Amino acid sequence: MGIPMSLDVPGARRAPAWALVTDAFEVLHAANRRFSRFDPSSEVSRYGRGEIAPGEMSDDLREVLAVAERASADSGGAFSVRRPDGSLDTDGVVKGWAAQRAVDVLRAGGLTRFCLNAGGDVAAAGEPEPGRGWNVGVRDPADGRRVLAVLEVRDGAVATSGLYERGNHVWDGRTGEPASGLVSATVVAADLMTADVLATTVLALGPEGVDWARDHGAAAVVAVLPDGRVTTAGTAREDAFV
Amino acid sequence: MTTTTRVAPPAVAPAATRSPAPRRRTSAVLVATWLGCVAVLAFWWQGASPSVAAAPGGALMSVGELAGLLASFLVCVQVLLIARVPWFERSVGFDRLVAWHRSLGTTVVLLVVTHVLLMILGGALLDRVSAWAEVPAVLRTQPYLWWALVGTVLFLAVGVSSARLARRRLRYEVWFGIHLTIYVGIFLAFFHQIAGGTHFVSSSWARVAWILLYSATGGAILVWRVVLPLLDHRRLGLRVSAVVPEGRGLVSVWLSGGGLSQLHAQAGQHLLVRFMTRGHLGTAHPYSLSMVPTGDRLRLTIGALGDHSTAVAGLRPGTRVQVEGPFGRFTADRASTHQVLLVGGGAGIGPVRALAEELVGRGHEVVVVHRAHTADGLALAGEFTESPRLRYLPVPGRRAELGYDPLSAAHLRALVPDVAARDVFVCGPPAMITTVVRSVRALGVPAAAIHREEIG
Amino acid sequence: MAARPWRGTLLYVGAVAAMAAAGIAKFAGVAPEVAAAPAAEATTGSSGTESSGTGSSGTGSSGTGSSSAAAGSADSSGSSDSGTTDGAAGTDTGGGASSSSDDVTIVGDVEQTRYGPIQLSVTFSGDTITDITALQTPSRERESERINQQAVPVLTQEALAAQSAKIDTVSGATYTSQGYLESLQSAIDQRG
Repeated sequence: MGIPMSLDVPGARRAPAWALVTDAFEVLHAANRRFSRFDPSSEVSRYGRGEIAPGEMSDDLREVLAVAERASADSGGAFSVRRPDGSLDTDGVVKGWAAQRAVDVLRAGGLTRFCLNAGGDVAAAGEPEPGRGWNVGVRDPADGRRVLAVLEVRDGAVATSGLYERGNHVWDGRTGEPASGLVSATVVAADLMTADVLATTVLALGPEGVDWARDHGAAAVVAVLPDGRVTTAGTAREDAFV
Repeated sequence: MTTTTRVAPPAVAPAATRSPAPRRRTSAVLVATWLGCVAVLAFWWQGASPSVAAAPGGALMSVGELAGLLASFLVCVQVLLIARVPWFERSVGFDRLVAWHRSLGTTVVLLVVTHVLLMILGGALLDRVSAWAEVPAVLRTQPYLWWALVGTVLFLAVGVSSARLARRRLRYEVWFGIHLTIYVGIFLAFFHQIAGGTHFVSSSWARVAWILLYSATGGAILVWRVVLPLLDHRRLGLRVSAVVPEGRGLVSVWLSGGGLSQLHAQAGQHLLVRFMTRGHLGTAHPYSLSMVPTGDRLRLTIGALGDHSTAVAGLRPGTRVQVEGPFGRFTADRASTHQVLLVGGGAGIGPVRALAEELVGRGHEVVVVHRAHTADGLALAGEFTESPRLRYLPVPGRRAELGYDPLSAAHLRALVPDVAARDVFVCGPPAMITTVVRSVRALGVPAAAIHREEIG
Repeated sequence: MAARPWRGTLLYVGAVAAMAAAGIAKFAGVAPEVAAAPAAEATTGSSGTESSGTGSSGTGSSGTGSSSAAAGSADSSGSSDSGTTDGAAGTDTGGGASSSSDDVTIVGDVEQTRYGPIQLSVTFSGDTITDITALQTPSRERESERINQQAVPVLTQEALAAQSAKIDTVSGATYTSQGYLESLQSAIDQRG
């Protein structure tokens, strides 16, 4: 992984919140250690090399792989944790999964108002100010300093998958070809893991994935086509656009 | 052309004993400059984040920014020093301002070089490249850096050409031409500060303040060195009325004009004079009055010290003249005692001649010591008419031929036995002034009673 | 006219001495390695004020890609209270924050990304983030890698869209710290 994270906790007393936050971040660190593709000694790397037998897998790895299986089945194979060259790439699942775990820690600790942004995946709870939800901007693929739209979220998750950071890293598992139908896909869902997986899948599926996602747990979808046009589904209304 | 000194006693005679001379206060200009530097330091401090220093290159760059900020502020001070702002002139005096300008110039140029070096070195460390590779990288990524580069080159050119060694070899006009390009350099270098400087990019207050600082400086130059002098020129309407050789390389130039009375020039002061004719138009020179100006006439006596001064002998009557000033605090007002000693050498005899007239007119008792290499070099000698209150002591002869220095303490005491009770005004070449000051100090004249003006 | 011939040079030497002293006073205390557990650092901050409105955020960079996993102590986030995010006279933490003895600098682990190693350093002044600096950046992409203090203040300045639309956070595919730093999210975090 290796991603920047920010946490916004309005009006919290510092010491108790700090401890919670530390725990939450520890969850993210642990996930990173386990699932880092760039670290040859991480569990996922060793598993990919076949050094770990199915019975020796950690619960986390097992869970992540299960999620990946399900997502692959639901998308007709478009979503896949196997790259065309056969190597294992769990990033599409792990980021959201780990971030959701961190969110669970915060909730368990009693926080009801917060906004976590883990490398672009957002989990929001409660209201930052009375009367409005969290305003989550959707990054403009062309310019990291601008947003295309602002979505208001209370108790939900927003995840974005896009080609503008890492280039062609998302493959359509059905064809083995790099995904090219969309430049970015943003999904709003109840939890981060779902949102993350859906976002990656929508990107892999292309424009047809926008409506598909609505049937598989997405409350709203915002997708950007290569020519710059924006298509939406669900509760993301046109007037939310900047 | 000779004039006689007035002999009539004044209405009120000045005190016979030495009154306590006012101590020269530390100039407000100096204080303001120091305060400004401290303010710049504080500005840098609050804008530099310590995290930067986690990498050594970051710390170097931050200190480099401090050097740049200081240099930038001092550039404004440097320009203001010679902007001929009347408040500065009255408070500090033209000659001191020029001396400060010279010193500060060295400091500024060195600080600019330091800034450039630190930014390159620090950046090279941060980017893990050689300093040589860092330069094009910086030029590519920072805004207006090419402009700043040209500006820096101009700064260096001005700095190098003004160094004592170089300045001696250059013709005044060439040196002055190079010097003028500093304005271009300042302008070019300004933008990279506002557009890319860390402390400015993040604070619009800082940008506004800096723009105000530079605008005020530019405005001062415009007003007091361009607009007002032009207006004055039209108002005063000065022209050359006569050119009189005074022997041994000295030439007197008489000026007349309707607006002369508005000049309020005093004996001992000098004007910045620009003759509006071919060959003289390009530069203005400081020339001292050699006579108390009357309502319609003024006289300057000029020594042949350089290309320009020699050409003065060829001026034609009727030539228009633009003047600025008067400048200088080498005036009769500074005399705190009834008895006064005036020492003049070379072209310094001009202001001495004017001061003698003024002081006698005010009731002082004056002794004039006139130093020259040869007897026929004693210019204006005929104007010092002996009288009960004016004694004229010519001291011609080269030291090598005489075998002694007539201005040494022992000889000076023989010439003027009561020198300890006199205020001393000395005007002439720097070496002569040094000797005289040393001698009279040794003879008991307090430092506050010695007044000096360098010519040549 | 050379009454004091070396005065200018002496002035310069004095100025250099003053600058060196200032630099040492400002920077000498910063250790390049990480500090102790975040909880301890949090309580050393001075401001404990809570605002009724919004506005606290912390940032940390996660992840160790390298084999030297120095556990969770390397990174942390803070909950902090600062001005509102409404674009009113909010604290301009981009480049104008004052440094106090409460400054805490936390240096993240070196993260291995597909482009190379990235390492971030985050400074908290009390509760607010005052600086994010990249200590190591990937060796490719030379032009964009030069992350210096200027990039952050520039972002802070240009995050006008965030001000007017009251954006709290941005969802985007930021997989590298580089992308983060150049993103609006970074600017939002900077403002606190």
